[in-house]
Amino acid sequence: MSERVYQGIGVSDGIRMGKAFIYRRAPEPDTNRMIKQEQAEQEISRLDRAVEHAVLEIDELVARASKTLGDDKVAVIKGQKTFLSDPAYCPQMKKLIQEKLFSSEKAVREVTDRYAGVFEGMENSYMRERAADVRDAGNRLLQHLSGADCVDLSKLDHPVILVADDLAPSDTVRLDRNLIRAFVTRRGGKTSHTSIFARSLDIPAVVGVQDIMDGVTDGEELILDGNKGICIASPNPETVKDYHAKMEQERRMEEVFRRYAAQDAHTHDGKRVIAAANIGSLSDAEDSLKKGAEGVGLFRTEQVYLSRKTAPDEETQYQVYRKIAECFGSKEVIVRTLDVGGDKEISYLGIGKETNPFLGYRAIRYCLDRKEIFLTQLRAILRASAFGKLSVMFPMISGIQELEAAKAMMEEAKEQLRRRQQPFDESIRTGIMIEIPSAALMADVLAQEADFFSIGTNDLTQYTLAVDRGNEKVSYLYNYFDPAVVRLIHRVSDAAHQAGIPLGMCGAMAGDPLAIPLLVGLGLSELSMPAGSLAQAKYTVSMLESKSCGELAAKAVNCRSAGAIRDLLQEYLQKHGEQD
Amino acid sequence: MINKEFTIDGQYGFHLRPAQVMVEKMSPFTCDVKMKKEDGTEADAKSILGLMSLGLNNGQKVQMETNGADEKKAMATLEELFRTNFGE
Repeated sequence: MSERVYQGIGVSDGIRMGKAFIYRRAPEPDTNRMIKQEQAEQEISRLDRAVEHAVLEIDELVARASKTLGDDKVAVIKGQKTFLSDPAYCPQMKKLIQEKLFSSEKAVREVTDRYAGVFEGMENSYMRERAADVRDAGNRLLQHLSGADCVDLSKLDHPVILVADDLAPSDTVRLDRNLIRAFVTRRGGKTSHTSIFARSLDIPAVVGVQDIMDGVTDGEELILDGNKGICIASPNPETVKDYHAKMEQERRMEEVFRRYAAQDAHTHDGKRVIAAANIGSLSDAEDSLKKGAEGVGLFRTEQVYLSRKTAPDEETQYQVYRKIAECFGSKEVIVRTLDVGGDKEISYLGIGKETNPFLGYRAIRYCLDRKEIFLTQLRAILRASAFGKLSVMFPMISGIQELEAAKAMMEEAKEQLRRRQQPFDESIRTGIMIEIPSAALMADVLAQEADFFSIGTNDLTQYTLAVDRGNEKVSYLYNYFDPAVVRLIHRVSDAAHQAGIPLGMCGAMAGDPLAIPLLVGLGLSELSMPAGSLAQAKYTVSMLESKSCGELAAKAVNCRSAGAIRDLLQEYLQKHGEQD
Repeated sequence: MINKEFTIDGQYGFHLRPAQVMVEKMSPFTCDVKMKKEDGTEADAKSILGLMSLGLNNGQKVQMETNGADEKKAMATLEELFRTNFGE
């Protein structure tokens, strides 16, 4: 067969090659069968036996899993056992058998669907995912009722890439992780079981690949690229060669990076650069600390607002912010206030469709208009600031009036808390994102009112170059190495230094190893990036020498094109990489 | 019959694990134990599916009701569970 590339969602990084092992559950049992009155008793004892076997099976799974997996995963499996003994589960099935003459299978399906449906209708995404647990318990019962054998994952004896519709917790615990090189599934999202399991075991995984079950045959050669979220079937020899090189490179670099992840980042000649993480949730926070984050340069608070029907109240937000503040202790966490609008839509906030959303009613513009929503968030952040080192950052500031208005709101929130006698960090710093060209041009004025700047390169690049990154016809113009963008960064840096305020960056550029010497040379003191980039970034910083970075930046500012700047940087990194 | 109000405290709301702990601790009591939401829906606190079906989110208030011979002991256990946030 010829090479095919399947696109999905990469949920666990890494590249693996191997043979496909297609895992299908036993064929669907007949869940429509009815019984006769005189069979009811027999049907009920059949269900009882299935429950008994299912419970035994779970006990066996738990005993096996507790050796290889953590307590929290075992708890998920145990949860299924609780379902099986739940007064609202099997007793209801028996009732249906007795009163409506359902077969055991039909009764199991009916009751299971009912509860799974309730969970699926919930606004909390975590609870929605729990529908899978109930279905898993139901499927287990159906399997025991049919007595049919399905492929037993625990009997695998050679390393494979597992291809499945979806993996239930009971499937994943049966796996010998040494035999599973990677997962690819048709269903699932970032927070589904497969994804969480894959990440916790460090097994690369791609989920949500629509045609994978029909497209791939058992035993076919696969390459799974969790970084890109793709699965390549029957790869060409060149693709294989490419990926062998990538894997070898990945393996070698990982060893080096691991050494650097645990250390604070500083250049060869001792200049300190804070390598911080961009996070969106508590689990991101925990993950980033493990990967060497020295703080948080961007905590996106939008997740607190998502998957809900109404705006989160102060208490709900406070709990989340507080846990994250505690997680980082004395390390700074920069909390960005609600950055809604643009491509981030939250229906209940009522922003509505706009013809030009990136230039429209969004972020700080929305917050200054909807004062109650903004004040609620500011109070929640302030209260949480009593439990760690939080700073507040306003997104999309385009000029001094907006900054002054936002700061006035901050004072109002503080005053409200003082009246309530609730503690907060009185010395909390307020800074701004520099992501609009007007803000970059007026940085000297803004610097008088802001405690720090953080450059958001994604928006700054698209606004400066007037390029929509998502539009394939023009995205080739999108480049943060464009001298226009670099000059703006240079200008912001000058303004920050003159005012004596720290300057960071939290866009994609900050985590790009090629950009790092330039950014250090331009005088940035904090680089904030996805946790996965931290180790490599720290390693890159360690190779640099601050004086030559300064010279490099001076040259870059005078380059004519993005290409010229890239060449300059590549040359620099090659030279300094060899010295190490 | 005893009634007391509590607040759900957890990133994921009242999810699988706390529900499991509650069922485990409440099942040995002979009294009826109910969890009631502010909107009036209620669930048997000895049923994990019932509890999870309430779909309680972080910060929501609930009424716990114990009714029967050992209702005092059951309520004391509930207070301890909420106080320790279900061991989370």
